[in-house]
Amino acid sequence: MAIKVEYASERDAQKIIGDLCNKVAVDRMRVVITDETGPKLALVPIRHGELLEEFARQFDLGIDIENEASVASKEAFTELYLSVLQTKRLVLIMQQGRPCLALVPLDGRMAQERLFGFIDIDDLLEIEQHERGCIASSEFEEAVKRVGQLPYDEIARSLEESTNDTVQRLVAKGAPTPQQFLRRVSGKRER
Amino acid sequence: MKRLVVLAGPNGSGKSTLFHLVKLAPDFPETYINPDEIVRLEDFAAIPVEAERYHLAMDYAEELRNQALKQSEPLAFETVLSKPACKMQSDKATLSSWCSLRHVIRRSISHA
Repeated sequence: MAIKVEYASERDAQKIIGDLCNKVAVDRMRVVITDETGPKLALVPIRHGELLEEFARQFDLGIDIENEASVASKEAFTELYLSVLQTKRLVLIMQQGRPCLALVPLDGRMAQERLFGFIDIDDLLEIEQHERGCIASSEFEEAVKRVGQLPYDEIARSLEESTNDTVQRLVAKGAPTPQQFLRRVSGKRER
Repeated sequence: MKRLVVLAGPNGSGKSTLFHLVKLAPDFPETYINPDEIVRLEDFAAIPVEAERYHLAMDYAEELRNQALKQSEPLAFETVLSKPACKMQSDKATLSSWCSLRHVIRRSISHA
């Protein structure tokens, strides 16, 4: 079954959290709770605790283990949810002795993307293409199969390189440098 | 040929990874604009308030996109389609004879 993603604002989260927990655990739906600065908390259905242990290790997050009673009611969940945000600890919910759901505090999109890089996503990408030539679909299809299998550092380096090249190229053609742009924007604000 | 590649999808859906995997394909645009990468440029990274840093990076990304479109520079960019403007830009480019290729990564987003 494809895993689904659902976004909710932090404000809405508490109202709908009971339903969300069911969806995460039963329907294998991923939930990301965001505020205006970006993702804050991910609810991740999980079968293999060791993946999250590795994530927690790399991000220097502590891990707490809770049983399913801690997400059985909206009140219990809300308490847990607030505590995850405050303590920045990853919480693994166990069901019948096995991991079933993880609450992961996120600090920005990179953490989210990195987290999801740890999770098996073989069956979750669904691509809808609208094309008028240009690039063979098969290249994209092949690429999609490899999403989630690459070392994160390699991707990060490659994106940084492409971004630097792009900025230099567009600046050479008349776009403002980041510094000029920021100076202009701050000038407007001051006026 | 003028080309516009839009990688659209929710956060964490694999847009950047997909870009990395296909960027060397023949005819893939060299120009790549992603606010999440722009925010890491030295001048933006120095902005202390996170929300402001991201907003300014998004504005700069938009300016770069417009510059590239104006100059018929083949362009690839990512969007979560959070703003109608992103969608419009792609449609407008298609209408004005750009060869537009949109890859929408869907994961059945539903707003509860």
